[in-house]
Amino acid sequence: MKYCLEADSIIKSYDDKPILSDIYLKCETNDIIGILGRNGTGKSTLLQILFGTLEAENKFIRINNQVYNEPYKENDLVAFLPQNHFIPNYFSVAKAIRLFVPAEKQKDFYDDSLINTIKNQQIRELSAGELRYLDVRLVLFSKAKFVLLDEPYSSISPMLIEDINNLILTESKEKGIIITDHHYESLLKIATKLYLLKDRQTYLIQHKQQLVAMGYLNRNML
Amino acid sequence: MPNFIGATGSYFRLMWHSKNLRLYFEFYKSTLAINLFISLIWIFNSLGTFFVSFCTFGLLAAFIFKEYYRKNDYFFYYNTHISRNSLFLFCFITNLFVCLIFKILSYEILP
Repeated sequence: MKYCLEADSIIKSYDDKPILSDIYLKCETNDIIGILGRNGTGKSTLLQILFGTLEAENKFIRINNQVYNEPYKENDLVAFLPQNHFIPNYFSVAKAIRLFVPAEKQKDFYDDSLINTIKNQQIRELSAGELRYLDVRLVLFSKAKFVLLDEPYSSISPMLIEDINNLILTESKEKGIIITDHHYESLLKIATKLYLLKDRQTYLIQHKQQLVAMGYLNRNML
Repeated sequence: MPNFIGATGSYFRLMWHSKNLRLYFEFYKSTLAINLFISLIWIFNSLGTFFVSFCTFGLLAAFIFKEYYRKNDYFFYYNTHISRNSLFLFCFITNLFVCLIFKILSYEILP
């Protein structure tokens, strides 16, 4: 079954300073949507509003024509990878996996060389890269119909970025995935649709050259 | 009597196997250290003030600590569809329940 997430008319300000105004976004199953934008343009804010853990002055989030105010409270609807590590550091890796990953997917979850290396450790013993990889893998293995990833490539080595991209491509067969990251090259490799967040609005990007024209990249970066 | 104990055991085993309940208990366990540290100060005053602190000030201190230093942990629970308010409520009710049990036991032991 195909699912469709639409976010419309999102307005958010911090201390009377508008961050987002009149945002529109659409994501369907199989979509991998990349959201690019300079620092402080509201990418993380937007994802938290979509997840339902951040209030907005106005928001309209619809999934398959049903409106949700706090989508995260619904079973298997939306999963979110925040910018910072989110697994409590008093857990062990095995406990985090046991509590987070659905039972029927745990065997596949362990089918990974890095996870097998770290499975007997405590969360606080992991390096930043190992922890980020575990964060990303946990969220992607959820049963949610939509996955929101905020900077999934941060602290991760190039080889593991490839692994994450492969996992995103696999999971996108049954999920809609929205990603924001400054690692635009890795994101461009897999994104099926690209938005640029600028001047509090989202712009659909059709060609890479638009990123230069809109001031996100320099000409020599392409 | 053995039937009653058996049934109670089955009930708790069933609850324990509910993944969400385990998540609630993991959160609850993480509030205990700070709560007990604050509340045990009051035990020298009386057992009653210890129980009051265990359900109020101590628990509040644990929540405030989490709010300042472990805020991102909440996303682990959000991703399993558990809101912050329901975590707080669960801890409060569990503490009330624990206090009630101890109060009953203390009357039994020291009438």
